[in-house]
Amino acid sequence: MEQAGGKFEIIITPKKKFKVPVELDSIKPEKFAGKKIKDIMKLIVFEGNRKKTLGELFSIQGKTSDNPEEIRIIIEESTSKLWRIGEEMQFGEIIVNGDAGHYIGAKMKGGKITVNGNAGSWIGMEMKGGTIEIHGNAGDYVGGRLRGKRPDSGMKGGMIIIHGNCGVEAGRGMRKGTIIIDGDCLEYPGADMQGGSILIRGNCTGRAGANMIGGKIVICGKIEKILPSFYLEDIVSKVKVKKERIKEPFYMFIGDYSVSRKANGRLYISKLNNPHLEKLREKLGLGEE
Amino acid sequence: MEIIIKNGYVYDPLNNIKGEKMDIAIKDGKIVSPSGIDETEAKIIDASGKVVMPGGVDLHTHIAGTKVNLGRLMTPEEHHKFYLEAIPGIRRSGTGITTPSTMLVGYQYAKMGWTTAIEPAAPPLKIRHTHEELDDTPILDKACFVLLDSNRFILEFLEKGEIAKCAAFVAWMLKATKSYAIKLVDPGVAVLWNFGRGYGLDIDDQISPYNLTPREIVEGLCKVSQMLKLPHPIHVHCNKLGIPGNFETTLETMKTVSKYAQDEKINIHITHAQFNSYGGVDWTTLKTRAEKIAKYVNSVNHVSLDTGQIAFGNATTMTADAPFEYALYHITKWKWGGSEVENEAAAGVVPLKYKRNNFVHALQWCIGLELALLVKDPWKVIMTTDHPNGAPFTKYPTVISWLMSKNAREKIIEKLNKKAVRTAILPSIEREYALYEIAIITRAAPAKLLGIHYFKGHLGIGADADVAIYDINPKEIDFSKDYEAVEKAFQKALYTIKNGEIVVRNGEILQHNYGRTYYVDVKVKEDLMENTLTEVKSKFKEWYTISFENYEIHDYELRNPYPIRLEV
Repeated sequence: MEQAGGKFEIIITPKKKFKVPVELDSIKPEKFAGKKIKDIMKLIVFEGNRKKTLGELFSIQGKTSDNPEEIRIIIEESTSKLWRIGEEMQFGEIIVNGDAGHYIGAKMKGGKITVNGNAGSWIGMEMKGGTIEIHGNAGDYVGGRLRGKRPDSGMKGGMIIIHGNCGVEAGRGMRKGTIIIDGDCLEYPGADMQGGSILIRGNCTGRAGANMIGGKIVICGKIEKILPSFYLEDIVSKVKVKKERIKEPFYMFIGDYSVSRKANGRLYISKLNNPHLEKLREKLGLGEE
Repeated sequence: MEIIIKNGYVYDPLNNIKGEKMDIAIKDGKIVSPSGIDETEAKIIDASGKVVMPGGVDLHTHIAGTKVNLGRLMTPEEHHKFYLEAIPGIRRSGTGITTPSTMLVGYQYAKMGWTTAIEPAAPPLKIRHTHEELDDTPILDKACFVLLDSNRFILEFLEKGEIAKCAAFVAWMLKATKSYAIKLVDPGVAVLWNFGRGYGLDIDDQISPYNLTPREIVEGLCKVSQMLKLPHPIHVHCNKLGIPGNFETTLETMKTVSKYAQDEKINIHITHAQFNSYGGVDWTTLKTRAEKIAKYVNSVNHVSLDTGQIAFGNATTMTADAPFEYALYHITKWKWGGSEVENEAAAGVVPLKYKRNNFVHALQWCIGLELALLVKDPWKVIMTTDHPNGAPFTKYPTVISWLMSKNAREKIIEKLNKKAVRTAILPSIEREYALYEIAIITRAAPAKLLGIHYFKGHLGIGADADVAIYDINPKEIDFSKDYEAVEKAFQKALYTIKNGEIVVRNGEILQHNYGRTYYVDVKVKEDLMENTLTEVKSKFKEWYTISFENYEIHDYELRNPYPIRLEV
């Protein structure tokens, strides 16, 4: 895919400034594969509640291929009004230059999406594979699930990397896969989590892993409080998240026991950045260092 | 508008027409004699090789009211999954699968050829909401049954043995709430639920603090229903619903009112009987007792059933049996919603998915069909899915194909939980419904049971022009083998005509209009009514959060009220 990049690039630029959301679930390599630019322009998109064609709203240039894996779509001058880019995508690559709206890479199965800007909420919602990389901040419910769905219907595979901060409920109902957040995150990371791992390099405002019964959450920054339904199990000297080793001491909590006695969610909290948790050491019977 | 439907195979059980080639003429919303119409001006529908039936009547379907709305609120994911686009001037939009929005309910029913639907459980205090939603439901004619089994006034009257006063109160209640018949849900359970109890209440258990048992409530209200000569008998959801070993309770409930049966008339309707025909001690030893229920129903004339068939897939259980829903929530461990109505009722909502490989669900599927197939007289058994408890009503075509074809059933049985197949008696049942019998269990029998058979559910002269035409040729197709054709035909009616207007063609909605709301207005002796109401009024002030004057619903609050007036 990387080698082929540049050969079959399609560049999409908006013709105007959008005031209402534009639903771009038809922008993905497998829909473009085997079509001429003329046909791609005829794909249907919704601007608000109006049915439009892609060609009416965007100027499209480039070359397509029959093989969706070779296609790279670049969206220039993107704004947060562009929603659902790469929804259910399976192959190829999408690069978004600028901000992106909600549902980027929702239900995605493969391929790669890169956003060089901020993104909205529900990024990688219920995704099964592939990679999403956001170079700015992300909104709420990263890798989560829609409201009302079963607790375990979140992200099922793949990887989400956010270089900025993110909002609440990252990885809600997650079953597999990895979320890496380089910045800070708000409440409830890994709520209802069943498996997979979340790495937060920044701080977290709290309630990490509420109702989790499996999986791994690593918080390298500061967290004010741990939920009372978590038990301090041990202090470990290093943590591994997806081939990456973080060599510093971590408190390891197990929970969430408010769901079940058999809950086995692991919550790793940095020891160095959270001196206020020091008093918990006594309960472990470890005494002074 | 004048319409002539030519050369269709007409199935009209109330007039004893079994697939004869006939012309049906419609003028001003009524069926008329074909000779009374000028053919040059009328719209002619060529129905040669097609089936013509009266519009379907659904006796038991939760389509409106507070608990349905609670179900809608609780399942945002399914409203995200399905929506119907609006077409300006023709139809409105709608969402939802098991708990569709009001517009969608009307359209989906009309699409299948159904034109009447009854909301079977409305707590009196919240019935205004139910009527608002029914008014909002297009195309269909509708009515609602009022929940009276845990009403504190009724319980007090029954405890004191004042049946006449109780009857007067029920008559007032039916008129005040603009409802059609008496509904009992797990009689008496809402009283106990107020104290956090009530799960597994049996027919002879005491309902403290009242000196009453569910048996006395059923008997009392059955007597009241007969005294008032209500067009529909008491509509009973028996005690111990959904609990293994409950068939004895169901049999007792039916037997206990047998002594009041008059002139071979039906005096009790057991609703969603599938959920009440279980043997065994717990879920692992669950057994089917459909045979025993069917045997009793076959031997007497005073009972009718509806099946409450389940279909595999998503459903949303909702009933005014609150403790049962709370217990179910602990099995599903997902979502639960409860709703309490002061002095009157309590309800619960739990979404559920029925799975083929689950022993209990598989057996439930078998029991529903066993009931429908073992009751010999199709006039006594009505096809329902207890929408949305067993399955959404949109599964009716599939249920029809199961009833009409053993092959269709065997295809499901192949993939069913093996233990359930061994326990069930369904695999040994050979019976297949004929199309005429399907017309009975979906149209004629429910209309007759509702007491609206003189103007609904048939195609005789003078009846309301509610007609469904299905694109299937009964003379050419072997329903047993080609069950998929049946399913397909019933999913999309070729034409649905409501009150003389063509509302559906080829499964597409053509226009948006509104049907009537039926209610019963019984006139009882004036002095008796006055005495009862003075007694009620004084307590009402003490017990209720709203005033007596605001309780009553007036005719002008309904879109198209249609009173059925009776005098006692």
